[in-house]
Amino acid sequence: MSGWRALLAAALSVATPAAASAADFARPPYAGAYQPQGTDERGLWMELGEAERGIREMPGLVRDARLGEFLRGVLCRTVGRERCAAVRIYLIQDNTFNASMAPNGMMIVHTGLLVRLHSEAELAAIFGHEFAHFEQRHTLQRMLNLRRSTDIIAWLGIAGAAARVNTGRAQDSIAAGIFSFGRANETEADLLSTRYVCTSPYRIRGSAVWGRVMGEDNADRRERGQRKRDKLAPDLTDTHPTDLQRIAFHAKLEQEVGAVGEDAVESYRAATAAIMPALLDSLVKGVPYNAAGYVINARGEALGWDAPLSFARGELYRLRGGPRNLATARELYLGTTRMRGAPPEAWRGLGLSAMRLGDTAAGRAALTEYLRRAPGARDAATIRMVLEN
Amino acid sequence: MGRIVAAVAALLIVASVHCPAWAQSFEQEKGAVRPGFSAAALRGQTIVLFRPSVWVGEQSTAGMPEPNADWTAAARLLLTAELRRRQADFANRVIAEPDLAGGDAALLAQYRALFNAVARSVMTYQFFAGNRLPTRKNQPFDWTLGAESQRIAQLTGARYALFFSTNDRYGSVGRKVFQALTAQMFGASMAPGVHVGFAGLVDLNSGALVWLNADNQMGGDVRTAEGVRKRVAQLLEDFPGLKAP
Repeated sequence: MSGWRALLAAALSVATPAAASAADFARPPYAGAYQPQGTDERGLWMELGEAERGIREMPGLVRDARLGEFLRGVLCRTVGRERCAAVRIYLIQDNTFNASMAPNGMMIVHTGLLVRLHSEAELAAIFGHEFAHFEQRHTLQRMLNLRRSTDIIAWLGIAGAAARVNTGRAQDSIAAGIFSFGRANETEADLLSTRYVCTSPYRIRGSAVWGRVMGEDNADRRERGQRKRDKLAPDLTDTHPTDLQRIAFHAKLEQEVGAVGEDAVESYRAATAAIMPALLDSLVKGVPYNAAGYVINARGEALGWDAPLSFARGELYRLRGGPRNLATARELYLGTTRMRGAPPEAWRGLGLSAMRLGDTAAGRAALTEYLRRAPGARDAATIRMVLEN
Repeated sequence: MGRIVAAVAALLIVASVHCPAWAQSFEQEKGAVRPGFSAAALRGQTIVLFRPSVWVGEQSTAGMPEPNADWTAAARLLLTAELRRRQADFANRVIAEPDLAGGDAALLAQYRALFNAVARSVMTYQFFAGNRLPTRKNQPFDWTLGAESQRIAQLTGARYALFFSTNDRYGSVGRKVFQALTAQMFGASMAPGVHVGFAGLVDLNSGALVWLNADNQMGGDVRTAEGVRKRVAQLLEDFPGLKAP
């Protein structure tokens, strides 16, 4: 941890944003009901409009009106009421920590984002960033830059071949420029995001969000036996600034702005409570062990261990399946069953892990309790069969 | 650097728009009818026409697709109008995809996507040389979307579903110059834009793909009524449901 701190300090000293006082933060003027201009932008909107038709009907779309209202409310409080009217938010089932914004006002939020964030203020950091891409028309800029760059590369290639000159280096540097252009867009979006959040009721929390992105990535890399990633400068083909750069960038801004604004942790928890068990289940089953463990632990440490979270942790260990994992899982399930609002599945986990550890009597008792609490469960017949044998 | 610029300038001046004769060694167009299927099975049946998938734009010098909203909208209108005009040539009643909402709309959207995926698989793994699978190459034309397509038959009252897809990237001025130059200088042939289209017919009772016609170098400028007439004629070539001329 201290090594990480030292790196962060070093990153802070080289962080790029110009020192800005709180007074500098104001929302830029907004044109309102924007219509695409010119062939390229209109073409892009047409293309994304077609994509949106598909997304509206896709099976993985979460159709939850109350959750949708909540997300829209946070977006509107972040960027202001007039701006948020231009955006349609689609929540889609996807375990990754991500959100994206199309140039036509279609915002896609992954459910994996909701399970990893802890407060409305953190959501505001993401929404501000995505909306900044929209307001600055970054997709169009990138498309034009890509076309320009690849055109030059093509012409350089043919000219070089004609003149028998090796243009590989020049072409490579132009190709690298495509990526650095994208990274500059990301930095611009980070900065504009802070301006939105500073004029909203929320506290700026970008460093916590990107700290968590980096923490999870490194946990995953540890499991894969890879070196952890703590670069201060991006590689040539990185699409975003490095996590450490972004942490430093936001930490510096947060220091300048100070502790103003609210986090809105409780309202975030309340709004996502209904969907959270499903999201945790998907996380445990669909994300590698270490990464999922990181997400669950980060949540527990920050927000406290409630029954759904404690149960998810038990599932994580039980599905891992080693004898030591099963012992840990059993203990976690036991703790969960004593919590308020414990899901019936906690008794199922308790019973199954006890049985696999050889404690048949305790296992049978717990499974019987599971069936008593959830007689109509989808796996009730299976569990009954386990009990009969 | 001066040398490069001079070379490019010189080439631009001497370049004539000379098109080499493309050696067309591989097949560009292919159609197939499911074994055992005959036009007789179509007689008197209703066909539902799914919303065609249309994309029209330009191709940049380096080959990047550039969408064009006006061309796409025009092509979609022209395509619909042309199909309506051709109604008399069909031995069947052709109805448009109903405008549904909710779960039914999602079902239609999923089948549109499924058809496109299956059609692309047919083209890649069975029709065109390059990446054909041993289990598909020169084998009977046997593909299906699954019998659950019966739900579409119930929704629409149609026995068959007809799908169209076109993707056109017209070479930009830069692309054409570049193409001429590479041909002139190196004798290399570059694809002149992209004009891909396919059309397919699905038996909604069984989900079987009964007819598919695919063409990787289609003719007809879809931005004009005349071109669309040619394009639709090419797409419907060998369509089993057309009346005998």
